[in-house]
Amino acid sequence: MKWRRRMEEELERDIAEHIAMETDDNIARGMSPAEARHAALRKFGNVAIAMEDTRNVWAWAKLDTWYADLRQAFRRLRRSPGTAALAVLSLALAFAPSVTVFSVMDRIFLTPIPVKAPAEIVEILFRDTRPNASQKYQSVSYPEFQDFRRSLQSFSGLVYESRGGAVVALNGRRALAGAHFVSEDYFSVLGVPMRLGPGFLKGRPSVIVSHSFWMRELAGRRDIVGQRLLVNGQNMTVGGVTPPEFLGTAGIPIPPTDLWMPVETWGVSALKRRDWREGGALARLRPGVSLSQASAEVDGYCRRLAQEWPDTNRYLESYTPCRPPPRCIVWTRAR
Amino acid sequence: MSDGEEKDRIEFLQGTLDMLVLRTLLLGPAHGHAIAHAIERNSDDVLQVEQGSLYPALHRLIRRGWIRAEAGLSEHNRQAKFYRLTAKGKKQLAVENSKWEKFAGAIARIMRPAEQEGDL
Repeated sequence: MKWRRRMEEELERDIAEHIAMETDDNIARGMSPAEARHAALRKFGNVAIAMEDTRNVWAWAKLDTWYADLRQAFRRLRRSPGTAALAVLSLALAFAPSVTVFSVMDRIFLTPIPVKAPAEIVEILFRDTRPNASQKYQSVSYPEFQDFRRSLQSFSGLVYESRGGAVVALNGRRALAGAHFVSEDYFSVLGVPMRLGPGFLKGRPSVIVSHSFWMRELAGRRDIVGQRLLVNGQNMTVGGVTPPEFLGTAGIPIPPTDLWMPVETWGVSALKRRDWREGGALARLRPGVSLSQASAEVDGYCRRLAQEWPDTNRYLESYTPCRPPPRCIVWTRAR
Repeated sequence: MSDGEEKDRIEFLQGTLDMLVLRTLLLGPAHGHAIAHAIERNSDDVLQVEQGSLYPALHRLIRRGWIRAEAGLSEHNRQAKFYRLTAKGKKQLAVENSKWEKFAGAIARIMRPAEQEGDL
């Protein structure tokens, strides 16, 4: 797959260069930089479609060579039917176990949300036990998440995420971006490697941008890591770009996530309110721990929380369903 | 709106863009942006290339062995990919050229009588 990765990167660079050249030409024609870039993008058309069409060309190229090999193989087999029969028999014997293994692997590993071992990811929610509760399920506040992370033993990692929006200044223009406020080890716990850059930076406010945002709004520039972005009036350093297949953890990524920012940038008051349940807590099961063992631990812990914080947690018990959501939904998103 | 949209634009027929790219590269290697502009300029801006569609076309031509990509520096000293016509591509251009002339000639023969009869 290395070949494919290199082709992708070269194509990205090629297209980014193309748009940059068109932008330069437009500036030379007297447009303002923002106008020039906009016109260049309009002239280029849909970048994602251009990339997809090009990828299709590569796929056909591979098929061409396979087809030639296949024809060659058949010609040889026809000349020696005995060998052919033997080959077919040994192939059949060899396929049987791998088909079985594949069906198992498929269930465990090929779930479409592109995080590492998605079957290990669960979500921690509260269930409101009052019969007339306005909301049956509630997500988790940031202080509760911190309690979970400190105390629960069933998980090798816990992350927090809250969906919101942010205003980003781009070439003198302001754009509304879909933003996710997340705990700082979000990408490492989920096992999503950065396409570019190290990820969140220590000691200064940083932002991770999605692949499509990077291509669309930041010209796919490879030197973007370390540059400043003005987000909600705050100077943030770009720490990385996510891989194109990672669209966030939501079953249906609408609206799309453009940015991920540390949850600390969310505002201090929201971080301290125990009843401000605006985020999701995702947790990765420790190897060897089953879902029911983990739920039992979370249950016990929630009863303790209810005693400790009767005002906010009295009626809540825990609920830990498996993530990611059912495949059918995810598939409609992926294609 | 830009003047490109006010002019009568002509949609590309299937395969025509490939032929025009080959023709443009006959003048020497060029990067994607330059190819798009050469086509527009040399057609007095009648042909507007949807620039995004240029890239699938370029990679299709590479696959067929008619052009080759190589690294180079653009006029602004930036890293860019240059596309060069191969010997096979030159031969193909001759084929496309004669096919095109036949096609254009046939269309012209069909269209001419209508004009003379003044039915339009």
